[in-house]
Amino acid sequence: MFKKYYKQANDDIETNRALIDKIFEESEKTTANKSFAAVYKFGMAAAAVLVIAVSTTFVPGLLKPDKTEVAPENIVRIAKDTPQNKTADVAIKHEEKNVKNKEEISETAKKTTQVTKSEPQIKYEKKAEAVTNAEAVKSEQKQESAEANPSIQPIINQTEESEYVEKGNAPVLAMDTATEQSYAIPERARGGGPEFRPSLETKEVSLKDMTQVSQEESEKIASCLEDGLGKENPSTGGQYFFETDGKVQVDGEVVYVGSWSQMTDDSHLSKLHDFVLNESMNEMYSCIHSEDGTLLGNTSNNLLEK
Amino acid sequence: MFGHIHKREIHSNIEKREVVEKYFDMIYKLALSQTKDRDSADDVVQEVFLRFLKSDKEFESDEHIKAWLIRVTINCSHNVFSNSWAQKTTPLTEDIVFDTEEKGDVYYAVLELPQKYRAVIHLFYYEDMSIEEISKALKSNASTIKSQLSRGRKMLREKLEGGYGLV
Repeated sequence: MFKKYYKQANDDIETNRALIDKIFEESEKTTANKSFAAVYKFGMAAAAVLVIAVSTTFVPGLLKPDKTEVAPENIVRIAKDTPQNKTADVAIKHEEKNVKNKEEISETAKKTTQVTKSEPQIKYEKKAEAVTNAEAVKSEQKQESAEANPSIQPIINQTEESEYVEKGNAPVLAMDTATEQSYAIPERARGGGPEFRPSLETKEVSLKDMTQVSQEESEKIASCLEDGLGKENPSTGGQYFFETDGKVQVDGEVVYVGSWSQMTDDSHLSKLHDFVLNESMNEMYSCIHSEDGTLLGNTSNNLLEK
Repeated sequence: MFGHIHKREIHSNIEKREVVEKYFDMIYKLALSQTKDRDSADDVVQEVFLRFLKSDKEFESDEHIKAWLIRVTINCSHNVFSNSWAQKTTPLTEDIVFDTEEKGDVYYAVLELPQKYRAVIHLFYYEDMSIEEISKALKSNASTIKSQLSRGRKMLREKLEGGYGLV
């Protein structure tokens, strides 16, 4: 219905098609200006080249002489660098010394440059090494935790899917199944056993204290659940949507609350489960919302388990 | 003799005109949903198509052109709202009158959404684009688009009594 009304509303909106001609007029103006600018630039460049050519051809002495050739008779130039009372020989020697000094200076400069350049280089390399080490440690830890927890695979199989189909494609919440089962506490939910057991069927968790999750958290959860449950329904091809409503504290642990839906052919979202998910994102249980704003969950069936 | 043309080369003015005519309404309505104001929408549309006409970009297909136009429209619309004065004073478009209450409710409810959710809702429900197409057009992750779509729908459910069929 939403889609229908939204489409109709947009179809009713008249667009300002008179703008099309205006757009093309504006475009032609800009093209003309562009051509003029190009010609102008070319002209300026040509003029600059001409000026340089003229100045180098007709103004003598602007071109610098070759430095490698020391013209002994050109004492005037050498004498500029030396005290005026020295002889030409001394002047030449002084010139040679100057050259040597310059070479030494350039070598020293090179070394200095090398040292200067390598310092940040060294710092960068150290930093890169530290990051690489951190990443290596992180990946090792990740591998260890992955080995500790079993790998997850979609648990919705054809049988379960057919149950939904038989019920006329109506959204069937897990609560319908849960009510058939007793809310007796499964053995592992009574304490002991693995880390997270939010025995929600016995513990009332108020959603009034629920806090929001950021978009990044929400996307991370959706991505994780897609990895575990798949991106779409294998039977119908309907895309899965994992919406996180918020998070609450259960026995000191963070638990995410959300809903798992599936897109139908007419862009309608059909809810499959309301769920709770632990912080490690390896345990997901379907649940129902009671009228007083609490959660009741079926902890005997981890939706993320094989 | 004639090699296979891999790129959608738009050289002639006739072809450019065809593209503008084809996508004008789509871009206008998207711009209107983003800017919530006809004058701003006019400016955005002009800017988008002027950029298109000036662009030397080689497009691979019509879908590529469409995605490019959508992305530029969203960016230009953001520029309108980057001016903080515009944010405070630009009114909701109330000069658009619909013949049924439902159309008005639904349309204005979408206009009240944050800009990024509005774009996704509009492209998904009005342009019938898939999540993948929207993510390519907006150069965004598919999971981000899904998340924005979900949040947009949630907000619409809250705004629209009865949800108008939204779960």
